Amino acid sequence: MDFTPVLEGFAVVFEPQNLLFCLLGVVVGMVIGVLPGLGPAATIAILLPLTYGMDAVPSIIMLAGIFYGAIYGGTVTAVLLKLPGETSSAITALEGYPMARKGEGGKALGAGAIASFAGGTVAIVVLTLIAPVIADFALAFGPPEYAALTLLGILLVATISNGTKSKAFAAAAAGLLLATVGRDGFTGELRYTAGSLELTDGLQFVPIAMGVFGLAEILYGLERRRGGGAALMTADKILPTRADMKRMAGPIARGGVLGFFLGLLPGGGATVSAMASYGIEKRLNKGPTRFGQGAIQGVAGPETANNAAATSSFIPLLTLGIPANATMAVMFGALLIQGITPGPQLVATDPDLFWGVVNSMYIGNLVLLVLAIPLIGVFVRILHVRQSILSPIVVLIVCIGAYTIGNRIFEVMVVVVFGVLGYLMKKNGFDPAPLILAFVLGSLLEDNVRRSLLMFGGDAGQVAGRPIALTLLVVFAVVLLAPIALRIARSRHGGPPGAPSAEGPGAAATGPEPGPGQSPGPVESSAREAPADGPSRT
Amino acid sequence: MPWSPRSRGPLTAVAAGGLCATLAACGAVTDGSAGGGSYPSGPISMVVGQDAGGSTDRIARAVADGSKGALGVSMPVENQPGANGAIATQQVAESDPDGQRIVLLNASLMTITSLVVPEEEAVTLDDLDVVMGLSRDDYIMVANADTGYETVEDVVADSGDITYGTAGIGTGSQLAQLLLFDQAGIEGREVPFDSGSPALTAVMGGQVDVATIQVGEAMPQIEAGTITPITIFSEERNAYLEDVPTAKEEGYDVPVAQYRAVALPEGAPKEVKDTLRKGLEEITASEEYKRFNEENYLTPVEISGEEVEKEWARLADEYAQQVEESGLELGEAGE
Amino acid sequence: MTGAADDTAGPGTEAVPGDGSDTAARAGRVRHLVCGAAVAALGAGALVVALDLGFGSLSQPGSGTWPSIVSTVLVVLGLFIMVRSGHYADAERLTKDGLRVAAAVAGIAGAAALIPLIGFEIPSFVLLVAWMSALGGERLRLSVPLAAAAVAVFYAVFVSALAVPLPRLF
Repeated sequence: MDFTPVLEGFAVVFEPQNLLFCLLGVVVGMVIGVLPGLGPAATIAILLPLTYGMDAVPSIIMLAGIFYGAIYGGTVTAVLLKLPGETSSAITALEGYPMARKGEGGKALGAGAIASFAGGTVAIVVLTLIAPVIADFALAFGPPEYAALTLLGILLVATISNGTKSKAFAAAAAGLLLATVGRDGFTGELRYTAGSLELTDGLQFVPIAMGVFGLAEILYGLERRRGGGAALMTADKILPTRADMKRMAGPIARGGVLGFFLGLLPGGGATVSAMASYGIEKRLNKGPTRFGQGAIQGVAGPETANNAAATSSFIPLLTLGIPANATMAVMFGALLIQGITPGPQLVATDPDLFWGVVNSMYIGNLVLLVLAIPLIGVFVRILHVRQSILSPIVVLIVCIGAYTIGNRIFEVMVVVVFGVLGYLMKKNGFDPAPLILAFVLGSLLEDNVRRSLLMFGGDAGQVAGRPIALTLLVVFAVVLLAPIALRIARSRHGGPPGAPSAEGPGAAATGPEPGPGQSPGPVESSAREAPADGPSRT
Repeated sequence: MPWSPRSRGPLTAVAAGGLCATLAACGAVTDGSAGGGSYPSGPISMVVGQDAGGSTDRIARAVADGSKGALGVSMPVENQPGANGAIATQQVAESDPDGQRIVLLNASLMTITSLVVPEEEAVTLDDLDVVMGLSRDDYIMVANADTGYETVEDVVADSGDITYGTAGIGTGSQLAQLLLFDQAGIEGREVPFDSGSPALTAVMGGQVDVATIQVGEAMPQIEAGTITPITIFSEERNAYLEDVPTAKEEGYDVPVAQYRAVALPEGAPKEVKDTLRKGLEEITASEEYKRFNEENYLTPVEISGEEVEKEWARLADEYAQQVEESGLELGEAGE
Repeated sequence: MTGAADDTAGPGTEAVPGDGSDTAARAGRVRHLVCGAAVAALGAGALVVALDLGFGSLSQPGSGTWPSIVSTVLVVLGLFIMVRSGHYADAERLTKDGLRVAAAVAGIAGAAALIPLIGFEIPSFVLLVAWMSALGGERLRLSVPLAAAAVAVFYAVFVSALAVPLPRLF
């Protein structure tokens, strides 16, 4: 293939003026992306007017900077305050937040920045090599394939939870139910809206996540000490150590590949990739830290996947003209305003521009890394503010951020309601993560199953004629049945070793039931490893 | 819900209009005279009932772009998505008619969505004054290139085993396609998507055989040859796709298109309306705005507010009548 | 590490082996009966609505098909949690400190309700001062200027710089 346009694209991007715009974009994007409620899509939409008067190239470079800055800004709040700005950073919060509470916030943010950069790099390299070929991958995914992929995602949700399985399943089911609120896109009927016009489009992810995660955390802390918020230990080194880096390498490599391919899929690919990465790393975890208590692998993998997906989601946008998600839709609009029509014609008619955009993204990624590392120390200092002062200010920013989502007070009330729900769940041992993740996947699953059935005229057997969907379903079946089969095999050999858990007797008897019976798995494995691993590494 | 939609004080009126802004923000003064003397008294909020980045939003931003030059104030675009724009429209209708808060309307909200939602939820133009019409966005039926379909006849010939994608319940895309299929006697299975973009992806990937989407969305793919244009639903041909026949020419009466217009709350003083209309006329006459229309394949329909109201009422009646006569069901919630 | 473990796992896990498991288990049992009942009730309520929406068929799934499947699962899980209520030990006892949580929630909801009526400045200021001083025990000498400064910064960022259409007084 001819790499001249690729290199020429880089030459353009590296002009000092363009680098300056990129730098500016990253800073502004990060500053605004840090505000809860303002995810990448909202940040770009707000800052779009800045680029109106500019030429195409600098404005796109600046947008790329804003894009990556905003994504990282969301990571910062997810790690430090458990306030994810978008679906994929909700996964980062699962390990990042416990790390921050252990005093490893700087390390988590450093890991996030490095992983993001690695993810973006993997994606860019693959993109440069095979972008035009790979575009068709997105088209091969129809409703049946999405349905199968989402099914796999829901299964991952169950493994992601660190709490009691039966409660995790209940939370996940509640999340699926919440996803059905609003107008049914197939019949036009209203479901569970109780006559509220605000609910006709359903509930949104960001206010639910801010409530169940962030606000609930503050309320929970409020009960334990004056002022609210979580306990904090003194911060240690900002950057991951060499041992950490070694631990991160595997998750980064796997996350990069996962993120790249799933990110190509419009609608939900990025989220599933982060979930899948988390699920895989949890399974592969060799210590020293258990997942759920701040394992750096659980930050590195999903963050890499997330960023690789963010980068590869530009492929359907630029080569097919299909915006893969809300953020890409805003980017699409921004490019159109600059007179660039993303689509199949772009690579052919205007290769310089195409590669200019791609390279801008890469530069955005690079500038982010350079800028994020020194800023981590500043971000972490937020946590040194007394909780009695920090908590109310965070609560207020959350409220204002929620207001900006729809420019109305409704979303603020949603945050409050789900904050209370999240608090009650935490008090009663229900992990809120499955609720949020199932909520994200719920409408994808229902819509695509129904669409598939409509396409097939009700004959679900036709899925056999679709290799990708069939493969995904087989993977689903294997992932679902393998642990059960293992358990049965193990119990034939005289019961699992070290079975007792907090669940008490009877847990083993439940067998394949989606109940607490599965929880001994991770518990026992980490228990076995702890003595072997712990002393040798520390 | 303790939520009462109301106007907000303008931002830069701190010095001169400070008192007036404070009163308006307190909800103490709601007569139309607020700011009447020196309209516009501050930035004019352009409310959009759709998400940022969509075609409606881009039109709003194109108009807002010219505001500084034509009206002397900036025009921040405020996205308030929800219920196909019903929430934003209702919110503007209930705010002060001082011209500081205007809304970009999609005709489909009044003419088509009303066919799907229960009567009490249907949005009407009663509480709004349309200032002027902006443009028309045509719907086009496209086919996956592999199907070999080129005309409506080709699709009719395959009746029975056709799958067709629409942009969702209560959209012009669905209405146009259902009416055409009904009149042409095509049997098929409807697969609704959330918006035009996934419907386009599905037709490109061969997940569905045909789909009806907006011309702006389809154009790059038509040019690349990945999808074939079949027919356009507006009453006259689209200037950007001169070769594609309209459904009307093919003998089907399906005059469906998306129209857009600017409106403010009912009861604004005449000077406010006149100033706003003159400003909008100046914006739409600018080279920049014209180029925007061309780049987005929009056909200008810059008619007066009265004409818009009459035209939309006619379309609403016509759609309702056609749906009634054919016994079609767009959704099941209307009953 | 131990501090973090305490927070995530909750005191329950530690309470089981040592502490008089009789009382702990009994307190947990009632709570989990309630939890299970709440889950089952949510499912049952949703199921009633879902069935009313119509179940549809395989070729033409109705609006109620998926919700009724999910709500049935919820009912089953709720009952399961009730049946096994004696086996859980991961709930925390409610204490008098929970009242502070209730006060905070009421404060946020009240402020949010007032924002559209009188703008965001006053409710934000009051909420900040009340939270810092009444809940957090900070001196008014500190909380009042701090709250005022915070509101000013919010105004500068959201209203002046980002032009977010927040309801406001000024």
